[in-house]
Amino acid sequence: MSGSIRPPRLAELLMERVLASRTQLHGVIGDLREEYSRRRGHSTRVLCDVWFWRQAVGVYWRFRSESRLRELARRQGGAARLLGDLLSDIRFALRTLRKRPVFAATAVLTLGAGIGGTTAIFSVVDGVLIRDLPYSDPERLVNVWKAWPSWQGVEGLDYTWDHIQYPWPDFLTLRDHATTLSAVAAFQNMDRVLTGVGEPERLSVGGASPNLFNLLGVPPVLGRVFSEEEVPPAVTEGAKVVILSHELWTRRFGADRDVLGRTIALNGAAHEVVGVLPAGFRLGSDLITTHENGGAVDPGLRDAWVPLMRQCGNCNELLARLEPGITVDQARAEVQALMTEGPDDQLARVALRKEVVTKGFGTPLLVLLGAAGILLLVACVNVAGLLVGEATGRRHEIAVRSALGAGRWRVVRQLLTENVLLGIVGAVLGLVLARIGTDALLMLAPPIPRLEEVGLSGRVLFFAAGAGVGTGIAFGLAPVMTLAGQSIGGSFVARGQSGGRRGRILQRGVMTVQVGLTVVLLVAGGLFGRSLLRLMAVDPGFDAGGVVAIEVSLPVRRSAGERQAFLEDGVQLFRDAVRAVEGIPGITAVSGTNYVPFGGGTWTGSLQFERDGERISATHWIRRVLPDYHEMMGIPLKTGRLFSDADGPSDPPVLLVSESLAEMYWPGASPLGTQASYGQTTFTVVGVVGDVRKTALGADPEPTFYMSAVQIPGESLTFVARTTADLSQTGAVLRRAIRSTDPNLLIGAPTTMSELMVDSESDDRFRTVLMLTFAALATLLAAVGVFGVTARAVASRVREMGIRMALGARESGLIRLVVNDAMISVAVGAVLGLVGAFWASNLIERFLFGIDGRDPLTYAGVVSLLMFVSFGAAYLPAMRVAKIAPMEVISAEE
Amino acid sequence: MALGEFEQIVLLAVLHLGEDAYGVAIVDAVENRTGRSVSRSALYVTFDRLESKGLLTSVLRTGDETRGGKLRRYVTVTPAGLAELRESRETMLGMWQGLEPLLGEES
Repeated sequence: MSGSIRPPRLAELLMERVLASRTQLHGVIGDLREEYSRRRGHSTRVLCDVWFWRQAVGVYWRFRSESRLRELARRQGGAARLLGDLLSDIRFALRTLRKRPVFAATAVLTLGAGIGGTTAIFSVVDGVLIRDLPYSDPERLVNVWKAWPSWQGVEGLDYTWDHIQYPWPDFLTLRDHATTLSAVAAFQNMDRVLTGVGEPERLSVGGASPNLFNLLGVPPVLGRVFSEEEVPPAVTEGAKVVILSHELWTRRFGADRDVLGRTIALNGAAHEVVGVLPAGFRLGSDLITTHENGGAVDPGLRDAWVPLMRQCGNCNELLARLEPGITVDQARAEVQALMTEGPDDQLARVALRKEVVTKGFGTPLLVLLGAAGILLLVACVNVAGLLVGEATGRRHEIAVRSALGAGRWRVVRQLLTENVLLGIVGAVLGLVLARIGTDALLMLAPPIPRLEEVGLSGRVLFFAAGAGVGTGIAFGLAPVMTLAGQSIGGSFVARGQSGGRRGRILQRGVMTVQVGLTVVLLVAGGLFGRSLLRLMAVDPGFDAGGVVAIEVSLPVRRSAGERQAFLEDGVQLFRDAVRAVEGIPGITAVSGTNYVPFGGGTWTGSLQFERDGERISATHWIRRVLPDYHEMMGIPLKTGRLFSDADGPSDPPVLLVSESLAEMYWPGASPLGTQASYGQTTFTVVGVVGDVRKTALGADPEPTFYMSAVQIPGESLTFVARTTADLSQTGAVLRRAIRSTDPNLLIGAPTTMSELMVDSESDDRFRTVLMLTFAALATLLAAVGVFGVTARAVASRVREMGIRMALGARESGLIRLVVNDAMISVAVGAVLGLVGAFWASNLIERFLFGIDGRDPLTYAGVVSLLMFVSFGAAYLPAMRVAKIAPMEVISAEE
Repeated sequence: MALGEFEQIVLLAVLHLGEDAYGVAIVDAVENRTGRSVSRSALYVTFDRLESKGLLTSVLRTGDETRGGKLRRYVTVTPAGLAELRESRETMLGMWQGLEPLLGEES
């Protein structure tokens, strides 16, 4: 080819970059050169060059994209191969696990128990502490309140001083002027009696500022929210509109959509229904009725909402939304500056709503989660022990596979696949157990806020899956590494023998750790159990046996002006009701009080009296009781006399004091005859009665003043009746008898005093049952662990034992040898566990009643129990030594 | 798998050319018979594709001096290629059959 007709070399170089094979190179470039020279015969050089370049670029692009497509296809083939490998690994793992069903079942059950327990508790922790509140944008939702330091230290105000609610004017200032808060809403709690729709019913009603539901992001499912004009100017005006809860709407109005515009009577006043809230809406007054304050947890369920009252003092619970980018501290500073009402030294408090709701519940739950975590750890260690045992038993198999050319990574991957598979199956079983366990937990659980939100969320599933897979990898890794690193020759030699020194040490270590962790759980369970027993043995100060309690309130008052006359009539109504109840067969005694012990109600007040010329103001619990209350409840009279029928409404007011109150103010002297005034009324102390525990069995009895409900009447009384009849039937009988005296009386749900007392310690019961369950499971797992390790030790030492027997060792001596071996590890574990438990007792001491966190009896008992169980678990497999026929064993190995 | 139209055209051209089937000749044959210009790059990629599918084999032989020392890639249709062509033809004829009046042609 002459130089003049040669195509552009650069274009050829371009094509050479993509033409891989010789065939392509010759075929393509040769053809194009041939055509180029042909074209040169009848066209200009430039046109031909352009043509050639065009072909070259075309070839370049087309071949390049073609090769990319091929590369992609090749790579997808690679992924498919990897997947194929994985599938074959899984198939192989399933096959090996099927061949060792006892091992696989033990591992899966163990993991399942550990993961199940932990997941169940985690689902509660998740629902209560982690999950967002069910309002829009919940992480910017805050509570706002005040603290009055001058009230700090005042008896009965130890909680209240730091939880002062907002007055109306300050709420308005905050709502209209705060720049760090994008919205501020207020709500209140009140009782209202619903009449005119079937039987009268006491409703729990919320007062809401018009913007409350907007702020929460909860629009009504029907109708509308309140308008600013609907907020009544004063208490006495009464609201004219009402929003129903979904629950009330369904229960009392049959979910009728035409309820809008209907008028219902609340406390006798007509209210127009303007809206219905979505199902499940909750808003608890968590600041005031709080667990910390000895009160019940407010489940936040309100039957209805009305516009809040303006002039009700410090009664507004404030919810606000932080402006984006504003911190709680910045908001607090501004709120502090915007306070006007109240003492000069008052402090602003702002805290995330979620923290307010769950305050005080975190630590107990986390302690339980920690205990469940220890159980999971015991389970993991157990499985690790199993894996080490299995792995040492498989040294030969691994050696053969390595010798046949399986790379180290391939072997590791195979073993890991098996472990992860076990973990996943364990996690699935754990989830099933957790599902059951969570339901059981919820039934057993004490009142904890947000329990209704507990369930198997994605986070919970992730937790369980992570626990399973993580366990499989983390605890399967040690044995895997031991095995994969071994030399092939060594393993062939080691066949059938001890299974490796390293493996044995590892197994014993596993046993030690397991026992140690179990001791920690057992000590905690033991302490909780003994604490609960002590709590149940506490004398509440009255006899709760066979007592039914039922709250009765007077019918709705027609007008506010007739309070006194209304209450005096009420006394007669209550007396009629008592008489009606007295006639019921089986009822041996009946009386009444404003609040029964453990019933949750509190009423404190200050009484003034003189002692040694000194004026004293004593703020304590006040109880109003019917004359024979103390006798009926079995509260002993210490000195003086009880109330009698002679203390009528117009007779001189009399007062009883509890023993601890008498001790407090008249130590070594008698309070009888002391004149004490409460408001306008002056009482004479006529007697001292025994102390009664009213909030918790673990708390000291509250010093108490007792007034006569006949002399100081009120709108409601809780009737208490002692019966020899079936308690479950008595409630309904009582209701009917009381209802017969006046159909307009409001009658609550009957309950028994024993139930109330049991409920009061449900926290302790919950903790104890859980901790003991965990401890029992851990003990079982530890026993399985000790059994397994000992059994493998015996199996691997058959030859050694045979030789010893041939040399004259006695069977019992050999059994002792094996058991001693195991018990040394157990003892070391127990000692480590005691140290751990000693440390952990700091964490749980605050939950204990009447028992020291370092109670030596509990520690000793736990160790004895564990040693006993471990001994049994070691002795059973050790007995197999007896089956060894020395000569066979020795000759078999020659 | 069914053949694409261009693949059929290339294979048919190869059959027409017999022993002389190589790039430039195929380009000429196709352009002469169809009146359409042929993209060289498409042609060469098609060679490779058909060869990898086993419908075509190729062999390098010396060409003329205008190739500057590069050999010619002569291609032949394999029996599998012939079978594919037959199948494609039958498929198309089956579809065309009976449509002659519609297309204004004699049957």
